Amino acid sequence: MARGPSKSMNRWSLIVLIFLMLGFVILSGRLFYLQVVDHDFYQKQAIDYQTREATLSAKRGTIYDSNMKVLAQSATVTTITLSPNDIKNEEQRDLIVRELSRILELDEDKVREMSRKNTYYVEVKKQVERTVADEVRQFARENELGCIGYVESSKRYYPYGNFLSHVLGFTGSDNQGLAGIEAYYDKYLQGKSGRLVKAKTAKNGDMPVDYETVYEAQDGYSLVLTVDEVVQHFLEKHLAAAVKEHSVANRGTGIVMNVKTGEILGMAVKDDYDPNQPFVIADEEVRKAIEEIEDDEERRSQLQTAQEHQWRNKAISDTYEPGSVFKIVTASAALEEKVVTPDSGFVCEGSIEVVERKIGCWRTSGHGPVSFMQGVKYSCNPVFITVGLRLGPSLFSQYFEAFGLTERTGIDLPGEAGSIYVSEERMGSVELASCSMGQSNSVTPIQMITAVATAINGGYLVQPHIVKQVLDSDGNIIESFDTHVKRQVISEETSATVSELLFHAVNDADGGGKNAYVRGYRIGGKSGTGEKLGKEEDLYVASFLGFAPADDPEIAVFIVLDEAHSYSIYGSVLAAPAVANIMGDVLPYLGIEPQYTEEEMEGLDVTVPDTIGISPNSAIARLNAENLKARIVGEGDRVLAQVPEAGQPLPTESTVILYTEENPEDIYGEVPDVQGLTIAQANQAMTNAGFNVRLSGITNHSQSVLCINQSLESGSKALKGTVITLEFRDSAGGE
Amino acid sequence: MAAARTARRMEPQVQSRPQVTVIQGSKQKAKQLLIIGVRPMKIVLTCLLLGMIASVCLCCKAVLTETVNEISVAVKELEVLQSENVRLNMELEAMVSLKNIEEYATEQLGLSKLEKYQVSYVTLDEGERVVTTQGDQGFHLLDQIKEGFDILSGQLS
Repeated sequence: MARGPSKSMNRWSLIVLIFLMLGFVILSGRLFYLQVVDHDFYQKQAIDYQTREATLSAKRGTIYDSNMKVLAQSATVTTITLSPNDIKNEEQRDLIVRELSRILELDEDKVREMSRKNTYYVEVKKQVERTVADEVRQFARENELGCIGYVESSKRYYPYGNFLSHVLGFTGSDNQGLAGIEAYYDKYLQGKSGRLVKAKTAKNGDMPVDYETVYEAQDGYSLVLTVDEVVQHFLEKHLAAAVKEHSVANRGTGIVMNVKTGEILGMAVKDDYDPNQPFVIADEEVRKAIEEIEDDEERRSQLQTAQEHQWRNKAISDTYEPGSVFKIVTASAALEEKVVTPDSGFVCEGSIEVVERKIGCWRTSGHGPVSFMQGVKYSCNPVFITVGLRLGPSLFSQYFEAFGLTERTGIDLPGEAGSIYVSEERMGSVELASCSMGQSNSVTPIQMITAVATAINGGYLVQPHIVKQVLDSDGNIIESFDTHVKRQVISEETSATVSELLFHAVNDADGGGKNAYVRGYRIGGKSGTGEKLGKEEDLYVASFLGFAPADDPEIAVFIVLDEAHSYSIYGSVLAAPAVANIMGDVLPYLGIEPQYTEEEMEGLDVTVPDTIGISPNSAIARLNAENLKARIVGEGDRVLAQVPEAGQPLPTESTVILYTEENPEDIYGEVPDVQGLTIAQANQAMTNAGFNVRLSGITNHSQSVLCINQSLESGSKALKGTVITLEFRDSAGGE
Repeated sequence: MAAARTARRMEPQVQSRPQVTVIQGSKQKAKQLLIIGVRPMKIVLTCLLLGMIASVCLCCKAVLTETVNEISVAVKELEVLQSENVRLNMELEAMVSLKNIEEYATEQLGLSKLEKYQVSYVTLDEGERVVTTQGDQGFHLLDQIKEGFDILSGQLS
């Protein structure tokens, strides 16, 4: 007979079952804990073990000028790395140090120091270009060196070197913008890095491509600037020449702006730096002085100061006392409020007393009785002080604010400074007098040109800006920055009157701005000579702001020379010629054609006709027909050679030398020194030496108009009959 | 015991069934033999087919992997060459900057800036064309006549 389990067996079964169930519960609980509670931790660990991630760098956006010329672009380069702990022996170390130093042009001691570090990763050199990186690769391959590594990185190229350096700025080693547009628009330019996630084998190798996921990098946006490369070139050329000629100690600044739209066509600071090597001090003297400092900390500190100084964009970051250029604002306010008209009468006795304080005119002998228009032309201090007092502190302050001079312009560049000005509450009569003529208040050059643009463009305060458009990598426009008018400050009628007054300041023979005159163009403008207060010696900021065409202004050019050491202190003498040179190049480029008056036409050059092979008498007749003279050398019956040659431009009344025999003697002459002479004196000297003269600059025969430049150096030899261009400027000057 | 016997007698008698033997005809036999022979063939063929499909898949996979790798390498090479292109373009642009061109034109070639008034604009009608004339070395009759007139006008003036 079969028997069932006994009670004891049942009891034991139950105990075992309980234990099993307990075990099951514990295991389930643990499983639950691992898979649910600690899920994230273990998943991350699994991903870390099983996958490998690589960052896909985004390409930094390109910066273009207004005509889509590339001003800054990035390209992939290589960082050469070394694993010192994988160097097998001293012999290998010596080989690596020697060859890497040679190929990468590094100091051997520094490379040796890197090779001795107790690490598996050290960066030997960053931003190595392909040709050099290939040479390193070949060396490593030939010598089977696995300790040399290569990491992809990016390098920023600025093809034109120091061109537009203060606007463009530069990037750091991590491709981040550190100054200028690069910094201001960094979030547009940088883009977003991508990722490549790959599965790896147990031996850390790569799995087939099916086991990888790519998150594409998003390339940075590109920028199109309002800056025109050609305008910028002219600005930099003439600004650099002015800085050099007048030994400007504290740098020169130039801005070219479209007065109607606020677009900056050019902005330059000289001396500048190369954004391809931003950390190298461009000024050789300063660099050598720093290198000679023995103390390390002192040298580092001086280097940092010098770097920050050279990177500083003076056009927006430094304030200065504008001097008489500010009188444009005072004049605009006074005309708008009708406290003066162009014909209002004033008397200048050389100084004016304000609350028992005498303030002098730059012309100590006084201008005598003058109209307001003449006061603007002569930049007469007593006239403007009187006008300012008529306005009163309240109105003056209101217009000061309305012209945007109490706030930053908001230009899209980093580091813009605000103005320092006398508030209405603190403005007594003496302060008002001083402010009316451009002293006491300090503004930045960008604020000044924006305010003057307002005065001449119909009275509209526009937003200055550098960037026009933002583009994606396919060239589509993502964002566009158009003209932004903040407010109307003065009426169009007042604006037209101001432009007319400033035109006379340049075009009239007795105008203070005549050194900015350009034949064929209606240019208006105002000079300024601001005294730098609180200095041990007398230092000045010479400036000139010109605009054209005066009847419908389109562009304004502003030059500021800080601490010039030259034959004059006045902006009308030092800065105005630079503005004239820039206008002379920029206006034709922008399609503004010259329109010559009859008087101007008479002074133009003619083209030398061809007289080779004809008789001397026929040659003379031919030359006379063009209003040219002739001088015959030799006794021959045919003209064999002529100087200047046919087709050359020559001023009327000049002499063409006709040679009628082979190998004539005495065909060369020595160029005399005519700098500092009047037009008549210089003409005489050149004619006596056998040369022809072309006049440029101011051509009226005033005794104060002197030669400041000659195209051929004095003492040099040249063919007689050669045309030598002499530049004349009015040395009398004025504020 | 009697009851057991009775019970046994009462039980239904199990009758043995006659054994039925199926004798296959020759056709059916052959068919069966065929089936028996085809089945392994089918299996083999199926296996072969599956093997082929698997091989093709593996082959394609290998080719795909290789192609993707090649594309990857080519893309990398393209990036490197593009970077090199950018670098060389930048170098070229630096050489032909406006500053360099102006310096070369004025200092090396001795050129000077053309003034606006030196440029004359000529309107050409249909059929007209511009022809450059060469400096004449010979003495043509017309030139002599012209010369005579020039001398005369020079003397009169």
